[in-house]
Amino acid sequence: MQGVDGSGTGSPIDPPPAIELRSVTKTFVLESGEELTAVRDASLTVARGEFVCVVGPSGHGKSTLLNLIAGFIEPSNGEIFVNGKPVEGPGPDRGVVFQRDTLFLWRRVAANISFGLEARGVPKQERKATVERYLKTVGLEDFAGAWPRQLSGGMRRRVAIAAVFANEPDVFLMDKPFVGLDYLRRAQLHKVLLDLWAEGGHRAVFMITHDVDEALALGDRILVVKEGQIVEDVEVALPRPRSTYMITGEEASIIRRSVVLHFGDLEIA
Amino acid sequence: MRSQDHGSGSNTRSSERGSSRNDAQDGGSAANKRVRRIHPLAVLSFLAIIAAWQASSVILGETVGYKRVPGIEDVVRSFIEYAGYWQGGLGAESTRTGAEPTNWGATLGLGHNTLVTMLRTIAGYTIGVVTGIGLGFLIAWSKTARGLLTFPAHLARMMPLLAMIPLFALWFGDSQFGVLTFIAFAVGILLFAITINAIGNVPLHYWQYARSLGASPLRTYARVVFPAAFPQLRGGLLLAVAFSWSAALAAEFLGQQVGLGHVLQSALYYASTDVVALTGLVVIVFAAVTYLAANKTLAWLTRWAE
Repeated sequence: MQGVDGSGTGSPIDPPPAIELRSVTKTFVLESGEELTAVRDASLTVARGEFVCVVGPSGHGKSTLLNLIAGFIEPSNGEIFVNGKPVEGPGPDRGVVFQRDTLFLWRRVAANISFGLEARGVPKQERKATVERYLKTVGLEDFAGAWPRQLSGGMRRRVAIAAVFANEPDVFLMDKPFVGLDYLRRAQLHKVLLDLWAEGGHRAVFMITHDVDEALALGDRILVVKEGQIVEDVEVALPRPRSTYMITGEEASIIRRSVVLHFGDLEIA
Repeated sequence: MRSQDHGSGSNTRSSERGSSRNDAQDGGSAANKRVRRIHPLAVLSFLAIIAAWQASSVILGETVGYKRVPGIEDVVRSFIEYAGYWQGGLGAESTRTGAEPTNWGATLGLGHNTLVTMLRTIAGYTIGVVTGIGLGFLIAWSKTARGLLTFPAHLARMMPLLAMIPLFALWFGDSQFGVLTFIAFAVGILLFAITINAIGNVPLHYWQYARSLGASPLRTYARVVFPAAFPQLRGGLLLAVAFSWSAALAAEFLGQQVGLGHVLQSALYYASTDVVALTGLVVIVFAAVTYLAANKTLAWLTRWAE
């Protein structure tokens, strides 16, 4: 059934990929009238349940790519499908964790997590149970009644992730979600994220990061985006759970080198 | 400490919990320690104003058949004049029937006129707030509304408010409706402009985030854009309290038979600067009370803000 609903990929019994981009280009017209092509002829398939990390230099189109999949902006050319359905604006099938803090400051922690559930008309009892479950998963069950301003940066990140996961989207889009957190906090959040991801089963994750080590710790695949194009697509065939030893080992080093070299062969003093 | 009786989660996560609790507690105790004290200079400036007032009353004296600056004792004594603004009843007859003015009659006269003005102010303020903010949101929401209403609304904003009083008087006569409309107009036009600005400052990512969680545009507007913009309306809502008192007095000044504005108008007619001063003091007290009440309410409504 899903094979005939638009994506056209695979046989009728195969589920469509979680994310599919077909020759997507996005051009912005600047105030000066000049055109800027942020994403150039990008094609990509992300399978259900796959964890994809996207790295690349700043300003080379990573966030534009995410915004296109989220439906916040429309492609100038090409097509985008999520679970076989063409993307037409934002929707609850794609949860987004932003780099910026998006917690609703006027809602307490529990109410932040239940926002999406309320919006989708989930009954109150079910909502309560879901919120409690996710608060527990992210270790914030004592803070259900706190205002966001009473939480630390790391705790706020956890609420943001819980709020998006609680809404049970099929695709999870994350734009540098752990920027500005120290190493330890990040490692904790990686664990939270991987637990939630494993719990969700079929959910695909598309996560932008500046940190190749983070991509090695989390991703099934690493994409390198440079000058608006996907220039590298490497599989990270490391077993899970991954230890620090594993992501600094020989196999990881080969992947790291192939990724980092796309940033240019920098001469470091 | 607290996190240890929990057991769940890693040690490091627990310590994060503990530390933020301490943060919250520190913040709380710091707030408790804050004690309001009147600055010695504030007392000094208050005394200086009283002294300057009394001095100018003595210096300027009764030069043109009336006191330009009434002395403090004149103002206190003028309280009895309020008996003339009581229509009779509750044990005090109206002075218009020839009865002697009494303190009780003056109390009733002052109380009645103050109450009327305050109720008008509160009603006009409420109507103005709802209309102004509502119109601002409507314009930000709908392109059609924006096209239709932006120009007339800005035109109305440019009109000098006091110059509009005769127009309101001609349109609505001395009706209650005219006074309320005028106050609502003064308040609404101010809040309309502030609302549009506040909505424009709501970060786009709030909208995107809410929409990606499945919220409809209307829900996003009501549950996200409005609360996100609200702290920015706080200043305008407080400013509008003072504005609504001025508008109420101005509207009553022209063509009302009761209210503090009417008292001022009569005082002007009889050149009773002492009654003007007393009425001014009464307005200051009640405007301050409503301002403080509004400030407290708004502080509570935005207690979540950082």
